[in-house]
Amino acid sequence: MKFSLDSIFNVDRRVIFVAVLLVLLVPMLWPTGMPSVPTKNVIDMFDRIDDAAIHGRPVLLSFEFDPGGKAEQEPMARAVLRHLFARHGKAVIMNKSGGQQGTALHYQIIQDCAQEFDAVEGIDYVYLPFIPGSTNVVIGLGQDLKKQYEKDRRQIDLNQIPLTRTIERLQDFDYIMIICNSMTTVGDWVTFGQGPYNLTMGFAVLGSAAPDCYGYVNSGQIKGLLGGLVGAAQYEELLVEHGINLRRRFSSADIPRDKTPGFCRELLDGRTTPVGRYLWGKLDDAQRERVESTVRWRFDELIKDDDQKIDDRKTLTDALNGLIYRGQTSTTQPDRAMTQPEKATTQAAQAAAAATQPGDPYDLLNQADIDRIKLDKDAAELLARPDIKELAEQIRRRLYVEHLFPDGLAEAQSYGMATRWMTPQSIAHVVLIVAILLANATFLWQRARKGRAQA
Amino acid sequence: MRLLKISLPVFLVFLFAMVGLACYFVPHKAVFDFISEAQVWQKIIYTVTIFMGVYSLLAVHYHKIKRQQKGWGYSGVVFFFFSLLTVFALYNNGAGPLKAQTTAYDGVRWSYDAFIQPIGAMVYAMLGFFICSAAVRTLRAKTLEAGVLLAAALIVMLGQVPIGRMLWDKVPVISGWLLDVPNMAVKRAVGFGMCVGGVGMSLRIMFGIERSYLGGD
Repeated sequence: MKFSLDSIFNVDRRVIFVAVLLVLLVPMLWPTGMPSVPTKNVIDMFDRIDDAAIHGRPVLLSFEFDPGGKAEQEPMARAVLRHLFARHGKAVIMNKSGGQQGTALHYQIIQDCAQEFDAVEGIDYVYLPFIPGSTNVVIGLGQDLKKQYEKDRRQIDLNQIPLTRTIERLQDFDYIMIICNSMTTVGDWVTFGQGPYNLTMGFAVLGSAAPDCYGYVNSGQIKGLLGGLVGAAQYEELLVEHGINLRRRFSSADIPRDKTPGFCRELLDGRTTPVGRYLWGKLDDAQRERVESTVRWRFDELIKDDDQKIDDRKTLTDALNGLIYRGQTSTTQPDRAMTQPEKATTQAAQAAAAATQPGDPYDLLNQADIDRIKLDKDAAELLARPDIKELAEQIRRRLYVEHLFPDGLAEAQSYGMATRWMTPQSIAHVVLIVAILLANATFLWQRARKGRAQA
Repeated sequence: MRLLKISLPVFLVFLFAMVGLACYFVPHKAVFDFISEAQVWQKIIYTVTIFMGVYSLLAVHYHKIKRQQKGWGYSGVVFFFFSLLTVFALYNNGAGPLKAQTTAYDGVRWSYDAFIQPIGAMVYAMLGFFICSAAVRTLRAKTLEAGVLLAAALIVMLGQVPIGRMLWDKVPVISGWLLDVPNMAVKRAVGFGMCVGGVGMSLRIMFGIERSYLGGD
């Protein structure tokens, strides 16, 4: 086999394909995260969504992608939904240009994120399915949302849904975020939405479309921009930085599906432990019967979406939060309007917490057990600060509950979807740059050799 | 004949173009009502185009199979999956075709998860390989300008991933400047040019000067 500089530098297309495949496969099999530093545009979007969610103002999310854009845009959608649901924000999610094919994908993403945070359709979010007509839909939404979308995905009139009852038009949203893969869509929203109605909106677009959006960003028409997968990774970084994963309420859905039978059994077997007693005491007879029957049968039943099962999951969630917050069911949004069953559960939890003294056999958690949890040195110093005494107490109690269910928060504490992809993407970029440089070196070397031969 | 083939279409185009302008510039209830009404028309037209699209798709593939053209087997695959999805949709998880489509996990949803989603994602993912190949072949420093373009491309590529910052913390800054300043200047120039051209072409169509959309005769 004859080797020459040409054969080394003339990189064959197939070699590039194999190299790209390898650099993508290896980190897929052994995923590692690579943290990103958020840019100003990403921070701007995060802050606006955060502000709207904390103050309970509605945010419009327009999902305008289909399975073709899934790789880049699903992590964006998940990051924003997790943010909103963790803050108990209100999200109206619509599908304008994502087509029929996008609807199933969108709803799957929404359901996953809603389950993580026990968000309830109609109270925390509403999904408005695909309707055709791009430009006219934007113009129409600016005039009357309910003429464009009379019913939600479940065919319920928007006037009967608590979340949408008071929303009339685009101007009623605090922030509008559009996840799309076409510059035409960006143009439609800016021209017919932002311009006439002076809306505050941001975009999440494919990496290839992001440079086209900079003009709108610099003119102030777009406030917040996520460009490609790296934009999603930066958003995830902000979620971690702001401790949203840590501050969110403990949810029964935190426990992965394959662990749920174990958790349920622990709940039953653990009736002799303080936590088990407390949780068991929170369930009424019918719920106890259901938990027992699901252990005997399949715990997946508790995850099904019929109303009774949702109530059961919420009871468990509230009970777990009662352990952590001593009866305060929400620390992130105290002014959130609660439903009647939620109010009843909260009052019961508060009464139980008020009646419980340290050392009481029905409470809750033993302070000595909580203190036994080993903390990182920096964390221990931080939690010892007197000005955050109450918060530190909650964090310690939460850690204790998580300690009892060690696999419960595995997913929440792992890297985000996009962050995991930053390693293969980084390596792929470096390999590509090296290939381009090699190809150029070959080209320049051949040109020089030809020049010398001619001379 | 001229009335039907030229005058009437040109008049309709002019009329709807004026209505379109009014929708944007005239904030009157009548205009908004018209937009809502037009939305209904649009939905009807969209529904009709779906049937036309299905008919056209099946007709093309039917003729391919009939003439046994190259790759006609793939047309058979189109018919197979079209039939499968139609059966699933009509069965509607046992509810039948006259009821609203079920939200339960039925055959349609299964085929969506098993075929449509992965195939859609795969087509997009394959682009990555072709873009890599194209980048290696086309980004050559043949001239000084091409060299500048190459350098800018490499910096922006590196600035888009976290490893760029790890190598040198100024990479994202330079990359950001390239996108914010030179890139935007060019984009704006191209954008202005396109918009002016678009306005000119729209006026030509509105006033019936440009009539190529009517077809030749």
